[in-house]
Amino acid sequence: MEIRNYPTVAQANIMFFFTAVATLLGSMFFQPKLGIGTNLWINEFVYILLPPVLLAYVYGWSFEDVYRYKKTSKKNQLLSIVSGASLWFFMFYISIITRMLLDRKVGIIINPGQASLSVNQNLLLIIGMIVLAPICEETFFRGCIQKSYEGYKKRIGFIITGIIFGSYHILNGISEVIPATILGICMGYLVYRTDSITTSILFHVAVNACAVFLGGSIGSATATGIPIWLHILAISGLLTSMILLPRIESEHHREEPNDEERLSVLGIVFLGLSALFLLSIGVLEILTRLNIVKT
Amino acid sequence: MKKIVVIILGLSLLIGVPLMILDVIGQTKDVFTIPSNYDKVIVDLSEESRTEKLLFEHELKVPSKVDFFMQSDASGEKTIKVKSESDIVGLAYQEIDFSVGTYTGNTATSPSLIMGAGSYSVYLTSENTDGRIAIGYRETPMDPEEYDRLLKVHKGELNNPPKHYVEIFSSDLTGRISKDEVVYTLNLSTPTNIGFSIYTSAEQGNLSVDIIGQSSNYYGLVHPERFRICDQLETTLQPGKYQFKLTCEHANGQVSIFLKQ
Repeated sequence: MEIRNYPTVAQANIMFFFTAVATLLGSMFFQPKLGIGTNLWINEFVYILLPPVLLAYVYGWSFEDVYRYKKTSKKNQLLSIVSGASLWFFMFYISIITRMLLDRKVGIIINPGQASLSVNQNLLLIIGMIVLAPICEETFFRGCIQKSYEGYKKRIGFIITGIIFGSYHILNGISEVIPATILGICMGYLVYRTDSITTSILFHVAVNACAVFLGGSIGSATATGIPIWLHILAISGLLTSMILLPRIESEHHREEPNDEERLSVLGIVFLGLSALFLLSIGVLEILTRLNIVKT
Repeated sequence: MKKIVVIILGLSLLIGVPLMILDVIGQTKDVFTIPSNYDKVIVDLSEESRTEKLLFEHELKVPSKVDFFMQSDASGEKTIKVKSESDIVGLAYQEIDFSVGTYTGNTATSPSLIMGAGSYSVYLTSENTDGRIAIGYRETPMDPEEYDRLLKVHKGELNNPPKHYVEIFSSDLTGRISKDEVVYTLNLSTPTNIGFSIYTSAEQGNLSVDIIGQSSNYYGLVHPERFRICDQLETTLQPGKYQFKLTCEHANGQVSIFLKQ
């Protein structure tokens, strides 16, 4: 049996399937008991970070080489942060438009109760989103899954990973899929260019920090429709990130696999299972919006 | 780089784990936070499954407002039914169901019902499940004049607003079809104390009055069966534009909106 020095597509797909299922089932069990903040920490540490860490431990891989825990230039770090913060406005705008369309054309989801978070849960949520999610999700998606897909198709590995990253966010609602896919592709591009996960972690930090600190106030301004300033802000954000992202410098020599991997049956089966599972979550949301399924 | 990530994650855990422990301690200390001036009944749901089992019955000597505060630490469906001998002001029937989710700490189902003199009873429907449900209740006698005014509105005489409230919109709903129709717009340039009273005599069809603003929104303020009276909802609104939106179809009766500014 051939021993690889980076994850195979089959390993990545199996891991993704179990992570997606565990995130949903774990959240259904832990969130009502422990709160949304603690549940986020469990998701990030246990279902998202642990699998690639275990895989690296079992195969004796170096985090630097396989998951690309490498340094990058100050310029790249700054560009990643600014482009992440800029693109967030456009992503937020897309998310609002999708949610409005779903609310109007399909139906609204009525929350059964007004839940307000304790101070502890709020702090856990903020740290979880700004610190843990970028590190854990980037290790899982860009470090492990993208690395494996680059072994399959090295030039489009980051696009496939972006789509997988976006589809995973259907667990947060259908309206999050398109924005998360675009963000995922951008973060994948950063890692592809720089061969360093630092850039995508910083980009992710900037995006989530904007969501935490600006999401609420901008969201409440969209209750009566989308104000003109948000259209302008969204387009400006998109243009800024489109200008900045190509300026990211390619620093490291990429150790790209010479032979492109063929997809194994196991890999295809688990990718199909993941797609079915995530699609069924989307269908469930549609049925809930149509009031066929009760929340 | 790996060292930095390990240090960041380690520091996060150092901060996060105590926060999680504090949160769990806080939850177990005050699972139910029924206000101290409420009477309360706590039921263990693991004893049996219940279908409309009587929990308690009380006699109201005079018309009163009864405030409920319902919480539960159990998952699954739990329904509290309140039945009254007399009319429940603003409701089509003399009974109403409340679904109680997993609400602890500062979350609760907390309706207020205005009932005439006579007895009312509270029933529970629940599965056999781990956990408890707590029902707090507080009875406050109504001012007779105020009760008479609300009873008139309840019986369909909508033009009985509280003092200082003026009508800003009124319409016959029979045959009217509206979808988020803006019936009144309020423009505020400074933070303002505002009061709303919205009444309907509709007994059927779809009806909803929503107030949509830049900093505050209120949805579904009246309903033909469950909430025909939304009385003296007072709040401070931030500067901005607030639209009163009407949605109705196949409804009957009238709807009136009053405003105190």
